[in-house]
Amino acid sequence: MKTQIFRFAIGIALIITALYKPPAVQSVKPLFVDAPTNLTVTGTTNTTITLSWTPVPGINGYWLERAESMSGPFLQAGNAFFNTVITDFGLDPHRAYVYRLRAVASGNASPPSNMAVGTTVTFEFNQVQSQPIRAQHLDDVRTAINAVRHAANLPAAVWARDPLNNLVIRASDVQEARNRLNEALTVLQIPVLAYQDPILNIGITPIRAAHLEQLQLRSTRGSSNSSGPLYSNNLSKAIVGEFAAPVYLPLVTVHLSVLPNRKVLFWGRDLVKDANDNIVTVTTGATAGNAKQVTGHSDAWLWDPVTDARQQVNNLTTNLFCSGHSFLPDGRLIVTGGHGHSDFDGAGEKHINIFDFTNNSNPWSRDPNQDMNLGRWYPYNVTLSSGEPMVISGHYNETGIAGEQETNLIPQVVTAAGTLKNLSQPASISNYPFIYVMPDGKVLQAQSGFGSQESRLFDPRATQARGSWSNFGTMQSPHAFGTSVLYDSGRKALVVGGLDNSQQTLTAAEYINLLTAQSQVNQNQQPWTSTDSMRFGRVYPTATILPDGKVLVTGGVGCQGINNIESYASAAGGIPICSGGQVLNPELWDPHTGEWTIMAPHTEIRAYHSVAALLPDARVVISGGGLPGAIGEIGIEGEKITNPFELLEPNSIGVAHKTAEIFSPPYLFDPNGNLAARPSITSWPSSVTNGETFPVGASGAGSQPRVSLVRLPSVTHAFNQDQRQITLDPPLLASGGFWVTAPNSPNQCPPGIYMMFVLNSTGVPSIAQFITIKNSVLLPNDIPETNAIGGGQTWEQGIEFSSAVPGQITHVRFYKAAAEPTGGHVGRIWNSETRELLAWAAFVNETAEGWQEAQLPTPLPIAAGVKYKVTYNVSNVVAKTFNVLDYPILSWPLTGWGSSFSTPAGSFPSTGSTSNLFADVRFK
Amino acid sequence: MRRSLLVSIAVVILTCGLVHAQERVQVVEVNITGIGKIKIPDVELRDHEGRKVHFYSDLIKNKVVVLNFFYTSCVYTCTMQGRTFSKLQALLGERLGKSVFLISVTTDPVNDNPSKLKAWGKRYNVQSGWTLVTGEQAEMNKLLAPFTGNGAGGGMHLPVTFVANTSTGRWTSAAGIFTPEDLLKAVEFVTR
Repeated sequence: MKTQIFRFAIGIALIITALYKPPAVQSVKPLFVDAPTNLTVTGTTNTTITLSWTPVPGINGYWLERAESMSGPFLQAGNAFFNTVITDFGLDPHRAYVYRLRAVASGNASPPSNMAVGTTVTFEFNQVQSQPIRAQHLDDVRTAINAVRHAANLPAAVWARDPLNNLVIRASDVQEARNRLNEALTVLQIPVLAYQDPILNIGITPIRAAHLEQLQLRSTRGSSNSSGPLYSNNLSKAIVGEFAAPVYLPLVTVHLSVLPNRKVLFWGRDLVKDANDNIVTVTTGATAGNAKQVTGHSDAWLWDPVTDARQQVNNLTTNLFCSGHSFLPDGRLIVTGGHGHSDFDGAGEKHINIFDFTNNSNPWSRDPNQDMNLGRWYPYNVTLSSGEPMVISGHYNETGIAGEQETNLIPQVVTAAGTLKNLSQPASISNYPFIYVMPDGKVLQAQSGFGSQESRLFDPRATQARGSWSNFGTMQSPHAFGTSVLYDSGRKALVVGGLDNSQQTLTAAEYINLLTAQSQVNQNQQPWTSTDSMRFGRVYPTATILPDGKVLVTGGVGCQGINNIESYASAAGGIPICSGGQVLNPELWDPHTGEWTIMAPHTEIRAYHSVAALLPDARVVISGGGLPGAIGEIGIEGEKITNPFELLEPNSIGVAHKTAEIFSPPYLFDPNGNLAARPSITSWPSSVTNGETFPVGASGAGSQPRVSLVRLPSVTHAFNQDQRQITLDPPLLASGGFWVTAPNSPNQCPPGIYMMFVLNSTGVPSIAQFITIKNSVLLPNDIPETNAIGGGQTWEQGIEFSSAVPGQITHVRFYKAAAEPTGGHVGRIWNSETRELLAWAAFVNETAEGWQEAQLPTPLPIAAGVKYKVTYNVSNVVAKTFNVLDYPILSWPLTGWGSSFSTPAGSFPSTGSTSNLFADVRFK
Repeated sequence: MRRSLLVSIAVVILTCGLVHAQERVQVVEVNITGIGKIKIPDVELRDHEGRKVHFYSDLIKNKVVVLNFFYTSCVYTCTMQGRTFSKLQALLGERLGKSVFLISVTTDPVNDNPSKLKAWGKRYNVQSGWTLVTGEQAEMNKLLAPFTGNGAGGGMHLPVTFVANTSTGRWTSAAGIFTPEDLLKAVEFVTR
């Protein structure tokens, strides 16, 4: 690398020395500078590209920009210079580069010139008309053509005869090369000129050197009619998908959730406006001139993306901007925190708001007696395998003075009683940290914006159910303001994009295997592994997992800086050192190959405060961006935003991308680009428990259907909380459908409502139906920490429980200590209030230690909300964990309210305990 | 992406040398974990007492330093960084100003003159051993670009902190709001 820089520097120096002319004297600073024209590639080698252009009179110099595709970003490739020829040195071989040029005068830069494309491929022969054609000659041309296709965001050509392996080149090969090159030239808006022998008759026209030389020339240099950046191309939708036209929404969707009634709930950032709809500013204090923000209120909307129906559902207690949110297992949305001060950011609200989609007249509710410990501005939520929402991080400001915000270090869970329980705190925590439930029920916190490269583990069951934190490896890159998603049915997590520590946007992607990470950490190995990088660097992209397990990364911006479609050498703005950073093409990542494919472009910039979410019809909505706009965007006062000091002033904060664009991923199209025939789900159960095998009626799903569950999306600030996709084990076919089994563990599939998709063998998904996954036992993860001796008496002991939904108890369970005699145990279920014994079963074939399970003679129906006790008899030694039932334990829909015991065995246990006494049921 | 930046820097330095030879500054190249090689110019600055200092030769060279970037009118991340440095002073105790030095560089040299730096420093109880610096915008652009990726200009920025032992050439850096304990660990890391 160092050699390349050196070579490049010397090259530029020589050219500038040779061609240096004093700049024209300019007495008046020009307002507008004409763009250079006719930017042309005049020569290429495998590491250099030489360009020339028509000069612009009366200017101080030129500025060269280079991009690796027609979509940008265009980064500065040469400083101001005065000649009209430049050679760009030190390039990578076998790549096509896209150039633009700006004229510079007195600190103003012109609009860009036309784009020119050059390819760093050298060919084995030149200008020898009589030389026999060999396979290598066409191979080199193919390399150059694929480089040009890459610059045009087209996939590499698939050749009919490949490899050529010394085959004789036929007319069909040359015609194919012309066709694949022409596709790219058309997309790049480079005129496609007539070829010599325009019709190559297969088997008749002899292939001559001239044919190949023409391809060499046209695949290594070209001038576009466009100044770019260009995003559109005409590829088949089966490869790149398709965006529908933008739909206007009433506000910027900073926060967006997809509800179980197929509607989308969103809210944004509420600014105070005057009667003329102008933004009101703060007049005094440290933030004078910044936009005044609303407190105690959020405009919010419901939107049906299929019918386009809308309904305003404002929240009247809390500004929900910069809150966290996730779904409770029953489908209500819990929103934690929000924005608490009119004059500045970072003063988080303590409020917890609930949105109940089943309540049409009054969906929002807030219990003022159940506020969080401190405010939270930038928290995230994660639903534990119990179904409890855990909220983590966020800023609060107790003094009311701008700048005196602190980090809320104490994570909390909302318990089954509706109360908040404080958890163990880490030494420090980043804002909006990426968090996930791992396959063992622990919580991974990966790095996120405003954080370090360290990842950490939270064990919610440790320290008497207050949890504990431990280090979990250093990531490969910082990824500040990148995005992250669980994939491989929750077994792996991907982190991609963002910024490195010098604010360069990253293309880098890395993953962690959550099944093996703990043992890697134990052996002092780093669990984070790089995978293929994206094509575009992106800050604030959003990752969305699709029903087929692929990951779609949308939005974000690519120029250096926190949120830049242009970046400049100084705050004064001036000439951009990077431009065209609006990355309008999503990229689709295939976890099986690690490869990224560029998707069709959307229309609007989706930078900071943009979102993306999977819809129940398997399309993806992307939306939002703005509040403030990106650096380089035009502000609402018509001035370009160049000064990051002014982001919270009206010109920049007023920028609002109030549109949604809906993407149809490639899986919705057949190979011809027509809409593919989709399977449909004709019958399904509304809820099932872990491990339950259940019937699904389906049509059009073929002989090898796949069933995919996707958690309801709830997304903000580049991260979709609780997002996970699970491919179920292959179904067993039956008449009119199939049987399929829900995941065994709530760690893989935390309780709640999922979109269930059926995919056919080619991966076309159905429209989703909603299914609630319930936990089947009260204690899926717990292991007793200790044993206690009975003291010479027999005991009856157990746990009081209830269910949030009606159902049946099919089994009783207990955890047998090794020292407890084997055999003779009976499980009993009582009505807690009437003390009536409702059902019992004797345990048979007991093992020495661990969970024992006995089936009830007939399943016992239980009502929602009624308290029961499940108990068992102990003759000598009991397995238990002290002091973990001071708060009720949830395993949704089951709640354990507390333990109790009595002597002798067989009596109704009446003495209360906060220990976990390890009695359990199996529920369905 | 990375290669483009480095190529650009090389060009900037070289063309500056040709066109404006008198502005050539001494440049020191360092290798920073996680970032790679960057070139630090030894630009002339003013500290919060108004004294002339050279960034590399006076503040950085042969020292253990903790370096961050802020601006005085900032009401968000810089205030949290300020409180962290303030507490770090206490944690360092005797080492502050003897073996370990804290440096905060303004990203807003146009507005942040030495007296503004001093007033800001008073809020955070700046002790001897913590130096706040500003300078001419053009010079500051040269200084800030390699560290923050941008020229002068505050506003929304990545709160990046560098910790270095320039005697041994050991550098580390990370973006984020750190606790004083985090930074103390980093100091111990580079002095090991």
